[in-house]
Amino acid sequence: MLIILRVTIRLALIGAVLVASIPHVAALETYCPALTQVAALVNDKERFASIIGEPRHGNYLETKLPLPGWADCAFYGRRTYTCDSLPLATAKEAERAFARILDEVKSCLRDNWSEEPSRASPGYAVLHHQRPAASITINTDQTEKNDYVVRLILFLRGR
Amino acid sequence: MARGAPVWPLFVKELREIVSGRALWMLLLLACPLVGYSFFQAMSLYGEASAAAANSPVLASGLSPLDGILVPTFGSFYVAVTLLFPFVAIRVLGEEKQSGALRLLVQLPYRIMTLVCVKLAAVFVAWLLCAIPVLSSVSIWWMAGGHLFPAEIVTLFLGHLLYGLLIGAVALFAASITESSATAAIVTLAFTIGSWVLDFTIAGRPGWLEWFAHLSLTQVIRTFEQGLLSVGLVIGVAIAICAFAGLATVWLPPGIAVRQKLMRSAVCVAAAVLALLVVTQIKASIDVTEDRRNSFALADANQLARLTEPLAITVHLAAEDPRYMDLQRNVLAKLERVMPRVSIRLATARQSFASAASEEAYGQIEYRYGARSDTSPSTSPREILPLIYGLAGVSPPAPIPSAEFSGYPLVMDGPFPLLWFLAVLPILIIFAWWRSRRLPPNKQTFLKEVAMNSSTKTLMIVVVSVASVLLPALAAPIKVDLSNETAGTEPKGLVPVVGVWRIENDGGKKLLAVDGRQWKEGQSSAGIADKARALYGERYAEFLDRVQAYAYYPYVVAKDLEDFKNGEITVRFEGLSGRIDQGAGILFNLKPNGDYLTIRANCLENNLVLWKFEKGRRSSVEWVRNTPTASRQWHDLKVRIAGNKVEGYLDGKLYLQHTLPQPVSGKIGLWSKADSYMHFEDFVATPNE
Amino acid sequence: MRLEVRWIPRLVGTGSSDNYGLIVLQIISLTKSYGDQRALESIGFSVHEAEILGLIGPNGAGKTTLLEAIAGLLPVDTGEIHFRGQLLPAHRRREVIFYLPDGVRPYADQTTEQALAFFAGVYRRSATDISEIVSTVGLRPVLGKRIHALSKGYNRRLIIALGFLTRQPILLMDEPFDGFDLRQTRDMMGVLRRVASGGRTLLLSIHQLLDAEQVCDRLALLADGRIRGVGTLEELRRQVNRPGANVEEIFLALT
Repeated sequence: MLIILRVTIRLALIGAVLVASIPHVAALETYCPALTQVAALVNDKERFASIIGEPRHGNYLETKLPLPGWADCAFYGRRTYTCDSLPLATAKEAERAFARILDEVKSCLRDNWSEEPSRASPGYAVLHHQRPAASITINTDQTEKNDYVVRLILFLRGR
Repeated sequence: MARGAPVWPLFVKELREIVSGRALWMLLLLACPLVGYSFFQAMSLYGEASAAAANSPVLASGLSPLDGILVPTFGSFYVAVTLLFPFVAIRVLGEEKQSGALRLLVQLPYRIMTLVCVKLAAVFVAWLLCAIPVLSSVSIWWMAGGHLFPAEIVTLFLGHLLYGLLIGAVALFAASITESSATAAIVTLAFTIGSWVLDFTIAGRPGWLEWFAHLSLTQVIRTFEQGLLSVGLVIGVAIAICAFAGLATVWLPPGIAVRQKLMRSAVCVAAAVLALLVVTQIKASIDVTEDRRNSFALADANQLARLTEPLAITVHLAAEDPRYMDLQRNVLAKLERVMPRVSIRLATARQSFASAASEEAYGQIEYRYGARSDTSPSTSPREILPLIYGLAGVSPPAPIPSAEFSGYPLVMDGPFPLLWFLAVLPILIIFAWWRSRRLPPNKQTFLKEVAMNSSTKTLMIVVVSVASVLLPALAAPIKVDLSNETAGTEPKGLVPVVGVWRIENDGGKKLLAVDGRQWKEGQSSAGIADKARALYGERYAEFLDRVQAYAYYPYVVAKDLEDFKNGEITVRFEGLSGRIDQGAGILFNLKPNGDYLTIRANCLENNLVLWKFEKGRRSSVEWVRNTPTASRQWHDLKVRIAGNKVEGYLDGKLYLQHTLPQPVSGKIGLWSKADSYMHFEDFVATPNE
Repeated sequence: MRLEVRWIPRLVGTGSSDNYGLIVLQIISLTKSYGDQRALESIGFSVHEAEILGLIGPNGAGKTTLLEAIAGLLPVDTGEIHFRGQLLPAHRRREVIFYLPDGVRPYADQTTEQALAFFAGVYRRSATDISEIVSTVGLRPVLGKRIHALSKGYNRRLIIALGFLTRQPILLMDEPFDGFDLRQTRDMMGVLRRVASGGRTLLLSIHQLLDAEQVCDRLALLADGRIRGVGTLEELRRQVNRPGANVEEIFLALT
């Protein structure tokens, strides 16, 4: 009995370590509703006004609607919404996360948003919304702390 | 009688003789359109191939400036030298002989050999002057951003120089044995054009004809054009030059009996032939090409060099067979250069192509290494090298990793080259000719001072001529010098219009920084009204209005350049941070109404975009993706403008090309976006006009 | 009526050579043939230090051939030249002899001053020397002119000036007065006499017998490739036994 308990505990510990080492990126079901809400605001008369919060430094403002499972969501000016994924340890992980998030965002937002392959580069993808003119860019970036993030930016075009 | 008379007055006199004659100037004037047209054609073809290779690395790797630009351009120079340079070279001796001045010259306190050497030195300077058009083409190519591999161009230049000197030495000899310059010219042309005839008629023929064809001067040049610096060939040509100069020394002095001259000539020729026979045994050559086209891969070359036994190759192909030429170029020539003991025999040397082709073994190439042999019909090193390794009992070497030759595509446009060769350079030459013909004022000065002035004037002509080679490259670049700026303050040489721009200190070096972290969109720089007035004077109000419209994109404007229309603008940048953007752009075509264009790179997007800011709106004009631009690394950004044609380069590679509806004209500056925190340095503008 | 000849006195005592009278050059049995034709036949005579020796004879006598042979510019069949008693082989003649040919127009596209500057540079002449020679020979008015544009007279002056710029002790001049009018010839005679007084030995080939009589210390008469007589005017008169004869008469008597 004791042996079974010890093995179970050890397996659980191993499992926890394994789970902890899996890239910690939010699942689509966590953030898709919020993303849909933010994206829908491009059609709103007031645009993003309802979810813009207090000013931060420079041109940044807080947001009242961060994407769950994402970090540091904010507004840059009143036309640009941005969120970063949780940090990833390696560029490879960021690449995998980038591909997954791109698929997730496309499946979340569906037909109103189409990918624009002519604007894509390695680690950079663009989705366009036709009317009104808005875009989502998804890109990988390396932060000043030398970890990697996938960044989502949703912005109104036209300036 | 004093010995050791100074050589300098003699050299100046010889130069003056050349410069005062018509032949040099006529050659220069005729060479301008000849070389210019060749260069322009070469550039056009190269540009077309480069445009086609924009998306094809395989095509791009075949674009070598040596083959595409330098060889064709120097080829036209070769024609001019062959046909016209004899008339220039003959002048150093022919005129003196005809006028009787030779009888004065040989009495001067110089050895005859000294006289001939000084004349040859003057011929060398004359050749350099004649090379002004072709050297200016190299200058234009380089200035246009064309790639130059020093070893290739030096080798090519050396080949043509040796050719020119050989013609000069032949001309000297011809002038020493004939009574008139015209006869000497005919003799020299017979030598040079005869060499062409040799090349056309018997090159490619087997047996002794093939050996004879190698004496053709065209073959000499060809080796250098292929990027091979053959030690034996250089020494051989030098021996030939010395031999002809030696013969000129024998025949020049008038007071020696003809029989004695003939005997001395025989000795001279015999010595030269002996030296040439020795030199032909020197096989050493250096492949100076950047793509190592004359050599096997380094690992194969090293492995083959270690094979000590003799390799005998018997080729059952006719000399005119294209497969033989392929084999010769791809395998045999390379084997001869790298293996210590290789002998090659054409089994069909005495037969014609038709009869040889009917042989059963025709097409086969036999390789015998030691006691082992094998045959193969292949002309490719991919099959032949493993065969040789097999015969030698060694395994093929592991490849040594090295940088692949990626080629240097370049699209160069604009009328400047044609304008230079058809108008500017000929005018400069005519001006120099006129200056050289101008009589000095009849001053009552001591002759020594006048002598110095005359010598100096001759040298001035030479110096001005050399300067005209560099003239295209002398469009003074305007560099924004940050070294005297104060860290933490706005730059003085640039006017910040939108955003936060300041000088920062990075490891002792002053850089320009744009810091979007604290900047709010819509904020123009402090004191913008004064800045606008400083830039545009009375029209500043219109500019100021538009600044407000575009106050979402930080930019600075260069103070000292009023109107940039053609040329290059370069800057180095590094992306430090920015969530929304890490953009660095070169701004140009800035109008008084605030409209502008910018070509920008972005470390977050890895693309290069030409943006247009017009009538209050921004729109993309040309979008090039897949331009690697890593953050926290320095990159080079270059914009090249020729009228309404714009090119964008990132890290030396041409990515973006666009033709605008109107020619570019306006101020220039640097550009950024949003929250970008970027460093800039080495901001240089090089106008073409 | 006989033309009165002005004898231009030698400037004795004004820098004349201490060696005047000593033999500086000896020509021994010089023979030159062109095929079957004998151009020079056993030519032999001597030249004294600082004298002006006139080589006179009609056109075709072989004067130019002789001068070129002496200068080492023409190979000879037999014969020797001795300089101050030492054999002077052909390749060393230019160390002591400078020959100024007739009928040359050197460096035609260059200016007079450039040609003079060249010689001046070769022989390291000082500015003073150059200026003096230019003034002496009378070239100052045409210094800036191209040589092809010079008159025959000025071209001749240029050749003479080039000769004066050299440092060889013996100058051979072929027709030094060619292209000069009477006054210019007299002037140039004065120049040559001053140069000889300075110690330089001049061997002039002159076909105008009267000019030769006036300027030369001694004369060598050449006809059909042979020397017919050498000596001062007095010596030649004694040779033909015609006291008071002029050069023309002596020449006719000897040839």
